[in-house]
Amino acid sequence: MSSEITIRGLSPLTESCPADEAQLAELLTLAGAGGAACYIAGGLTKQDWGPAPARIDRLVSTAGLSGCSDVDPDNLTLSAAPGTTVAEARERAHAVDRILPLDPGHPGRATIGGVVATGDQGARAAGYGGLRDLVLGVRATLADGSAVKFGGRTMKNVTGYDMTKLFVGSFGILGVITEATFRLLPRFDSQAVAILPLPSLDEAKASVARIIASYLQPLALEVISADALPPDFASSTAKLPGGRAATGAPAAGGRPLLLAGFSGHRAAVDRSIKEVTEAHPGVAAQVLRDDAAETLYEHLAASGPEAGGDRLGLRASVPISRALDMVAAAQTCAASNGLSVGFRAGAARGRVDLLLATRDGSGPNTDAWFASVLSHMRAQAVSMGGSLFVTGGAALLPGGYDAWGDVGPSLAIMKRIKERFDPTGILNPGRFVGGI
Amino acid sequence: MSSGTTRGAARKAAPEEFQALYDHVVTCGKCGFCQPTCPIFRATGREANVARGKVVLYRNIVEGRTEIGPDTKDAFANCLLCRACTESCFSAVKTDQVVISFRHAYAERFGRGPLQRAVFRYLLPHPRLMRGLVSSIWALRRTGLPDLARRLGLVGLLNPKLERAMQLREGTPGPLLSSRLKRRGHQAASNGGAQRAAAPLVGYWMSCGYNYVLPEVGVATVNVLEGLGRRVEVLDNCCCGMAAYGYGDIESAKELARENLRRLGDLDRLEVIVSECGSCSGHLKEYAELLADDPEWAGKALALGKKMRSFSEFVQECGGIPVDAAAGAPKGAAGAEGAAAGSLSDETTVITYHEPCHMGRRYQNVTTQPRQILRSLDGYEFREAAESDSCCGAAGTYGVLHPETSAAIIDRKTGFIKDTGATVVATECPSCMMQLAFGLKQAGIDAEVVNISQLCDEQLRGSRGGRGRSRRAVKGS
Amino acid sequence: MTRTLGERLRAIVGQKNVLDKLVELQTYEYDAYLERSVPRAVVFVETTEQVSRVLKILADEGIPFVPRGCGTNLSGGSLALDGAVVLEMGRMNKVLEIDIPNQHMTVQVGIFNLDISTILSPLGYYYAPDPASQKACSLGGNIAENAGGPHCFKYGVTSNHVLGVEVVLAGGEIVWLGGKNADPLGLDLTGTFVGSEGTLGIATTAILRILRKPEAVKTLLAVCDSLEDGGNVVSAIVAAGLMPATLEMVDNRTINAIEDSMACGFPREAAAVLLIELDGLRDGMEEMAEAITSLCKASGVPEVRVAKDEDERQALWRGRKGAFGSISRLAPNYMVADGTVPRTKLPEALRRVGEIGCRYDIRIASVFHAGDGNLHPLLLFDSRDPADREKVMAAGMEVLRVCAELGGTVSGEHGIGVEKLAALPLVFTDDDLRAQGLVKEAFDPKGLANPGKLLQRTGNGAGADGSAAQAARAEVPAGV
Repeated sequence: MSSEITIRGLSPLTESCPADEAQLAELLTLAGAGGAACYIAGGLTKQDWGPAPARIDRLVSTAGLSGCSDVDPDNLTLSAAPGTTVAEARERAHAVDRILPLDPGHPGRATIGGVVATGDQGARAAGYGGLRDLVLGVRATLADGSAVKFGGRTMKNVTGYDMTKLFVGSFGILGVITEATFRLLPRFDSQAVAILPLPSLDEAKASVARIIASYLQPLALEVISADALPPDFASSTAKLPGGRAATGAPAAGGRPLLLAGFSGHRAAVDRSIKEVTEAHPGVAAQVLRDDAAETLYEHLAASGPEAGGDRLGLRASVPISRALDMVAAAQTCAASNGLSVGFRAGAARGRVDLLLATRDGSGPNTDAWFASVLSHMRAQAVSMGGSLFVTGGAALLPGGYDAWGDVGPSLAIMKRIKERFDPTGILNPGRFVGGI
Repeated sequence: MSSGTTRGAARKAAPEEFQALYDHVVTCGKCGFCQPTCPIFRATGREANVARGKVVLYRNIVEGRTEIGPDTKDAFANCLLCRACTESCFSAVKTDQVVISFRHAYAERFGRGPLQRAVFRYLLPHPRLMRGLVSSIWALRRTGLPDLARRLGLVGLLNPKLERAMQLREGTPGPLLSSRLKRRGHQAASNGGAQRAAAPLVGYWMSCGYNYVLPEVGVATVNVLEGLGRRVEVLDNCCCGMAAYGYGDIESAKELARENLRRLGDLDRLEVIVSECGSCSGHLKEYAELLADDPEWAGKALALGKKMRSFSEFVQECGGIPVDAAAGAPKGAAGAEGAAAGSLSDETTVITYHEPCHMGRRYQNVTTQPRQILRSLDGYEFREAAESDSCCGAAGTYGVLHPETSAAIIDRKTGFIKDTGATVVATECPSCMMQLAFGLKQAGIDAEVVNISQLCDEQLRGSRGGRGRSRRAVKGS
Repeated sequence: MTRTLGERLRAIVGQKNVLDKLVELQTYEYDAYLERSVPRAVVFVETTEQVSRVLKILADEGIPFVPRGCGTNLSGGSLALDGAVVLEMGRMNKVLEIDIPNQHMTVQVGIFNLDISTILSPLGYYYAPDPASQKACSLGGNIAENAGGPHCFKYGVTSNHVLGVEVVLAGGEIVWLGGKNADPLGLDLTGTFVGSEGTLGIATTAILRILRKPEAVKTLLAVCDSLEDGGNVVSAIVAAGLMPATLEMVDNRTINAIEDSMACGFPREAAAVLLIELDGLRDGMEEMAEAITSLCKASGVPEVRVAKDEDERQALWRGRKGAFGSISRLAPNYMVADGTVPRTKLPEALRRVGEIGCRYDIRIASVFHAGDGNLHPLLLFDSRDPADREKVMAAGMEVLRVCAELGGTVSGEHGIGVEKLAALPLVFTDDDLRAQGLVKEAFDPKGLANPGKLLQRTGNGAGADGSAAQAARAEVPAGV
């Protein structure tokens, strides 16, 4: 049975969509016997994360394993199957007056399984924390077909090794997640986001440092290029309750926008917004509240890294104080290479998303050229004590490009773990760091 | 296996006296909370040096898993008896009692060193002999030969403990305190003319530390007592016996206690008995407990305890040190917390306090009075140091016998002192004074050590505090 | 210990830093649990380099090892089984770097937990995981157990605050897991290592996330007529969108013990006392406190005390902090059990714990983290009586069974150690355990790191009188 889907230009030889754990176990056992390379697929929003697979013998879709199995507002836990979209799971929490603190790119397509496997967390990582801080337990089916569970439904759990942490962000190479349990947060009283167009990156850097050093506890703290928001964003939000039109023109080209979002008690949110906006008296700040703020976050998520496309997507993890230096480095690189660069810097955690594209076809755009841009930007991140990987536009790069960069000596342990969990190498082979 | 048989069998091997504490030490749950509060553990990190380890060994001895012997001795030698562990213990295990019990039992089996025996049994009960011996030692030092030997490194080669002992005091102290006070005519009979005859009579306790090593402190104390309108009788006491007790020589300690009670006689003539040595005053207050089983002396010991005052305690009872009207508003120190003497100017000296163990919460609990006095002094700004209530690491002769550990302990303390910016460190114990001087010098910190009585003496005589005055003789070497 | 081994170890760490006399070793045969096992030797280490060289020598001879911080472990994690050599880490306690702008600090693991926050305090920062034993336990121990504390309802546990850790593997290899950034590349080995109870290697240095101290703190105390009411209060607080930093509760027996020893003014008939602490920006805090007070009243709670200043706050905390000390007066000894249930199941869990107490004729007083469902029943006994001890250990296992049955887990923060090895099948299948074993194999194929803990049973189990372990020692020549 051949598939209609292609992934990174490859057509899987077969495609499966197991409806339950038993079916999944069966097909993995079969795959193991034949040494078939399986590609675990959720919403396929992160195809470009990691190198292209050498081959795909079997596409294993989690679409058949979907739905929230348990929502416990009192105990603040939610359990969901891997094929559930993040949007659906968030909605289920919302229905019982709770928040599922997941904020990945493209939540309407991104799945629970994918988000847990990749650890993708967006703007609200500042307040929510990363995936590793939010997953309380997982069920998984291993390469040999056995069904295992780790962690549970309690926040306090030191029974055995913290296998949950091992599985979160493991890119499906250790097992197929069949259920994940998350921590829920209580709903907040109020939320608001201040958008400030700042004159320069330097000023943004100073502003962010001030906020981080203060008592304020942002839910989101992003510095973004104006093109990270849809062009009509300013006017569209002006129509929403709580939004108001920015006075003057929206931020042009390379001018950064500072987004500072807060949630909690109304008085605390108001004070936070006030403190942020009053630090820039000459700037026309826009403040979005409640639903309008929520819409902003949705827009940000929608503009996250995309598979395919004609823009090279990079995600860097650098020290907090260097996040905007990374943006500056990207701008310099882009300028000298005739590229345009869009950026979204999560300043509270040091996560920097970059989108590099050619400007109206000017300048050479061979894959070797993009590879050198990748290499340069990675070197920048590494020199700052960080790392960088490709999140989008992988087709722009030549075959065999270095998707992840170096992990360092701990790779040896990671390899040993992979070898034990997947001795025949059927689960997403070669997808992750160091070729594991 | 019934519990009764097991317990009975285990108990046979252990000394009788351990039985009394056994039921107490089993309440140790081994939680380990004693660790951060133990200065020795902080310095060495060894389990045998902290209460939990000692209690386990003691319990093992009772249960027959280990023996009293040279191997166990070292653990119990490493204790300052500061009681910090007891304070942080959920079960309030009295590890100091455990340690003394072991030291006593060890000496019973293995004897005491001849030096120890000589000092506790034959010298300390006889002050005149002690004075003679000590005077000879100082005379020897005045020849310069011992210090020459030290500089040549010979003393260190011979015995590092001897060298450490020599470091306690630079040079020699001159005439012993007892001589000085005798010259002033304080001995036994009251002094002064008719107008003083009506003043209350206070007994001044002659502490070994001040008598033999830091006599200038005693002079200052007596000055203050007189300045507070008292007549002073210098008591004809012998060593209070705390050192003997700490060594586990309970018999000697009791004998010294009885000897002192004999020498003091009827206490009714005295308003109080004062000592500016925290160890003496603290131990004297516990004489009643020491002699509880002695019907002949128990009552007298109780009476002594009731009369006993530490120096700061007495000063505050008297309403504090009066301040010269010309120097500013009178500050009755009782209750005057926190009011610094004027603003911090060039003439204001920053001062901090080291709380001797035996003055602190875990012993006499005279904690607010010294600080009140220090806050009330003209020309000083008082700042509390972190861990001001933790042991300095001298603990009598511990510092001499365990020089490395003791040096590490005082090093931690002087670090906190340095943080306050103090140039004067006040305390109320001769042993602490010597240890602090040693530690400050070791750390290269430019600060002097004084007794509270010396500061009070200054204050009474109207002098202002300041640096560069050489009234303070305590310098480590 | 053979002469060669002892000499080789002393050559690395110095003459005085290897203990091998029986009396010395007896002071390292225990932790805060109820069993003991005499180690083969104790080695005091001061650098990562020394740890590496020591482990290399031990690996050459196939000798297992166990790292030790302060030995305050409650599940036997610090016991040296199978003739293991103890590496005492306490001297490695230096702070190497404090990086405020990047919100992390690098520190050696032998440091006391509380000292970390004490050092950070003047800078306006603190280290969030604050187990009750924080002044007496080491960071390394916290990492080994993934320690929690009263603040973990809002702030998480140790694992959420460790960014990276330098580890020496069995065999001596030194490797850094994670690093200084929040989202490092690759598998989360740091997260896997935290909570591994010393069975994957020895951590020597850790990079910790540090937080700005909150602007304001507000403390309340609710005196509850029933455990259900207490639970309802917590539910209501959560439903109202409030996220307290702390929710601590003590039961009736504990209340009475506290009143006997400290007189905090708790009504003796109260079923429970709930300590609630909010932290964050000052704005809105008073309103939130008022909201909580209203919620308490609506839940039928007869009395709510609100602290107006720091002194009153300390007064409210006094009882909770004095709980263990007060309980310790009721019997010579107590054993602290450590299970977790979903929070809403706490009242039922405590009821069943009470039943266990009756059945075994053991008095039990409980302290629990009301926000996250982690309960600590203290089982009273007399350690002089072996039968009493056995009873308490059996009762402890029953408590874990109850927790598992109620959908919780068998260890909330004290770890498996040796104490709970038998309880693992209550929550894990053989497949689950086998998968965990794969991780152990990947890190420590020879099985030298802290044998007999977490997953493995050792051949020579630790005995109450150390008899099995002493038998193990008998094979080893005395002296070094």
